[in-house]
Amino acid sequence: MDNLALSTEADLLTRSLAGDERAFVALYERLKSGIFRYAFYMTSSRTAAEEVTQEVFVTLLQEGHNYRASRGNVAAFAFGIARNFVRRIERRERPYQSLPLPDSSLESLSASLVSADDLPGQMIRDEVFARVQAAIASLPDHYRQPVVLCDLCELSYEEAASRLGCAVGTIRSRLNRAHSLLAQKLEPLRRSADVRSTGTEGCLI
Amino acid sequence: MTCQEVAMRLNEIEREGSLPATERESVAAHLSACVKCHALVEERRELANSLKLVRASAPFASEQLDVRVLADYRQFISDRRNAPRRMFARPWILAWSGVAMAGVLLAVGFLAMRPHKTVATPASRTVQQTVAESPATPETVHAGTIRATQSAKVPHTSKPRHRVARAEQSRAAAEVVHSLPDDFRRLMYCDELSCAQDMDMIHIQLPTAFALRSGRFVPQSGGLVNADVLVGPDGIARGIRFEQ
Repeated sequence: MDNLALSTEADLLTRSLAGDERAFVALYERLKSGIFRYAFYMTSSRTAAEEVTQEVFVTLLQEGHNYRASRGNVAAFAFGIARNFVRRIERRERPYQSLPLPDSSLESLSASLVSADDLPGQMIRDEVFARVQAAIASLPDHYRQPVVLCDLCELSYEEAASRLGCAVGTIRSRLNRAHSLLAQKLEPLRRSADVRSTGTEGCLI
Repeated sequence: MTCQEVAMRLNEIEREGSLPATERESVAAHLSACVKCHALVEERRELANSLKLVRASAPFASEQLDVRVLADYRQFISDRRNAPRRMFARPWILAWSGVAMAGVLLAVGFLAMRPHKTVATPASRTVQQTVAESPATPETVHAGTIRATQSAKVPHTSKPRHRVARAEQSRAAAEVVHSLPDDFRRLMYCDELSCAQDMDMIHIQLPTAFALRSGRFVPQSGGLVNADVLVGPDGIARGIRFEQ
C-alpha cells in the first residue's frame, strides 16, 4: 500500500492527472492553505480567495501536463497560477475599490480606541486587523508581495525569491522598505495604543 | 555596532531568534545607548506584532470550497474519459494537422505542375497563343533523338582518402560542361541529369520581338519567326534555335 504522505507533490500531480482521486485530495490538502491565505491577503476578500483557490486547482488539472519539475516545484507552479488569478480579480475589482481613508479618520479611530476601554478585546483586534490589512493593501504591488509571502504566509526569503523570480537581496530590501511604509501608515494606530496604555488620567492631564 | 549596521539588520531583529547570538549582544548594547535606533526597533517590533495578529486572524477556507474543488476534479476526469479521442479534445492538433496536410498537397501539386509551369512563362504564353492563332503553324515534330554531348568526363573515385584528392575531384567536376548542339542557344542550365538523356525537338513560331530580344536573329519581314526548341526529359525547354 502506497503512502501518500511521503509522495512528492509532483508525483501526486501526475497521479491526479491519471485519475487517482486520493492523490488529488492529498495534493489539495497540501496546497490549499497556502494558496487560500495568499489569495486572501492579496484580495482582502474571503469569497475572492475561495474563487482563486478553486480556479487554481481547475487550472492545475487542465495545464498540469505542462508542469516541468526542472522549473520549480508544484507549489511554485500553483503559486504562479494563483498570482495570475489574483491580478485578474484586482483588474476586475479596481473600479469598485473604496478610496483610502484620510489620516483624520485614523485619528478618530484612535480616539474611539482610547475611549473604548470596556470594548471586548476581540473587537479591538478586529479593528487592528482591518487597519493593518488595509495598510498592506495600499502598498505598491512590488512591496505588497514580499510582505504577504514572508510576513503573512511565512515563507523564507529564498522561497519568496523563488516565487517572485527575483534575488534574495531584492526581497530583503523590498521587505525593509515595505515595513517602513507600513510603520508610517500605522503610526496613528500606534500612537493611540500608547495613549491608551497610559490610562485615562494621562489624557486628562 | 553602528546605526547603519542596525538598520541593515532590522529584518532579523524583527524576527525574533533569526539574529545570530554573536550579534544579539552588540545590537542590544547599541540599542541601549542610541535612542533613535531604539525607537526604530520598537516601531518594527510593534509592526511585527500587528502582522502576527493579522496572520492569526486569517479565516480558513470553507468546506464548500473542498466540495466544489472535488466536484471539479471528478468532472474533469469524467470529461476526459468520455472524450472520443484525445486528439479531438485539443483543437490545435487538428489545426496543425490541417496545415501540414495542405502543405503536402501544395508541394505535390507544385511538383506535378512543374513542367507546365515552364511553358507558362510570358514568352512561352506568347508562343502558345501564336501557335493557336496561326493555322499555318507546323505541328509539333518529334525530331528524333538528340544526344547532348559532354565535353569532359568526371573522374570518379568511390572514397577519396585525402583532402587533396577531394579538391581535385571537385575542380574536375566544376569543369564539366554539358553542352547542346552548336547552333542551339541554351535557355536553361544543363547538367548530366537534365541534358544527358534524350530530348525532344519542337518546331514553333515566335513573335519577332521575342526573337530580337534574344540577340541572335536577323529580322525578316512579317511578325513571326520559326524556331526549334529542345525540351528535356523533365519537360523544361533547354535550348532554342532560330531559323535564319
